[in-house]
Amino acid sequence: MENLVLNNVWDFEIAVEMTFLAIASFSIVLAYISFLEGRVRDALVGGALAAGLPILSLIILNLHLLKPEASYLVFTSFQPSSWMPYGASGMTLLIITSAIFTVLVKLNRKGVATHAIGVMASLVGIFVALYTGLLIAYERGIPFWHSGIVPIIALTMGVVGGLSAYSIIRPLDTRMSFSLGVALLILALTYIIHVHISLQGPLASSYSAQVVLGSIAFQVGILIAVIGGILGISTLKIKSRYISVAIAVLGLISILALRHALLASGAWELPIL
Amino acid sequence: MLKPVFVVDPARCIACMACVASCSVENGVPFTLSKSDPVGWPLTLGLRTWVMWIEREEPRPSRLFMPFLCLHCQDTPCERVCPTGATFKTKEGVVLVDKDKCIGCGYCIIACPYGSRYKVKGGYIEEARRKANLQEASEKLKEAGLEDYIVKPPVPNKWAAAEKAVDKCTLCYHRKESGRWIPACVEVCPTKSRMFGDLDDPNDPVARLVREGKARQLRPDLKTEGLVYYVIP
Repeated sequence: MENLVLNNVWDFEIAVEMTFLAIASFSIVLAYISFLEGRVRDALVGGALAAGLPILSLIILNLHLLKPEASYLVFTSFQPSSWMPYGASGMTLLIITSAIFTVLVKLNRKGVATHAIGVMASLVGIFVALYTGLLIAYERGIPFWHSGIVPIIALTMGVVGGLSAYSIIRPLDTRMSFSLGVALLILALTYIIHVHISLQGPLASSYSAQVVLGSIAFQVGILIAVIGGILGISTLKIKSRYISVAIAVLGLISILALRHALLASGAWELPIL
Repeated sequence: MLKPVFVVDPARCIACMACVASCSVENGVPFTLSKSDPVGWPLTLGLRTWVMWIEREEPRPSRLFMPFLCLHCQDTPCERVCPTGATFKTKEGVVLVDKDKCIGCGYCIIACPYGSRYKVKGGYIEEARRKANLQEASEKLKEAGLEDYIVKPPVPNKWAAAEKAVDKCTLCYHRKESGRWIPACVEVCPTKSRMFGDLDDPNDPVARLVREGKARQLRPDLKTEGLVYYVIP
């Protein structure tokens, strides 16, 4: 009897949902930095992304529920022991704070209120990126996910997502493409370390790691992350709009593929005598 | 108050599946007659309980049947992660799902280390009725004037299987409310492989198996401390 069972509870759409959140999470951080630097247009685009993408995420999440019409219960019956209500609240706060920030920037308000809301939205964004890892790292059921490295991977994916968006918004800014390159290499390294540690771990964890290693999503994700990382670092010497956009696209594909590989490879070790 | 304890003795199980059938009828779980591959866990089969088998070569070739159900953990991962409080423990320690509160996010399925929960999607029961084997059986029963027997409505039961919610074993908690608490699977088990008792009753033979250490918990390393014990052969 096979007692290692791969989960199929959260499918590809959840990987897409979490990728949107990753992009939104650090787009707002970079939007606020752009605002500090006086780049109003960039701040507006980042703010709009941070307000819009979580709405798409919430729609995807709702469609995934068996009872979307009852999703309000996550708020009205708030359960402090579950990460999900914190995540849903974080996404909602991210939408609201980012929208307010964008409106304030659009109205050319540069006072304390804009800074306060910008800082708040950035902190919420960082939390949302972390949340996508904490959600799955919390419980023991799936040992491959039950690891302190998973939230770090999620946070790095957030950084990659935000920098990818800004490498498209600001393709000639070498700081963005270089930082994206470094972030992609850190992501690839962290992910490989996680898989390596998992290989030494409990049976289900090692099984999941083997499944990941054999998956196309992982192979493509890591390859793209490394190529994007090297290209990103090379932009210190070669400055090109097209290379920046290409790295950004590679970054986005890489976080989607790696997230999908992570979600699809979680396995239980169900008990036998 | 009865402190429920459920003991499974796999050595006595003959895999007649009467437990699965009785659970299905009692709780309105579609009995998936037409499963082409019946090997799996309740989680993968969409059932509350199932009998699995383990084949061994040593010390001699043998096959051991292993009845499986929710272990009703007292340190309860599924309850902890439930975002709406739909999963809860009764005062006796039975883990239940309030179907009205369940939004079907699946977080509890992921958190359960024992594969005891599954989603009942919308249209699932109707789909089960349409399955080839079930239809064939229905036609035969219709000819015999017994069409009502193939998909019986569940015993009136707040915890019966419902579409658009996560489902799991309830230890037939509704029977407790009606004053006669013995799970349907235990009642029909012909070999007493499934046993149910009161852990607080010093004379209870089922509880004695636990107290004497003959029945133990699966995966004690996970420290979930369930109500279900196994006599380890």
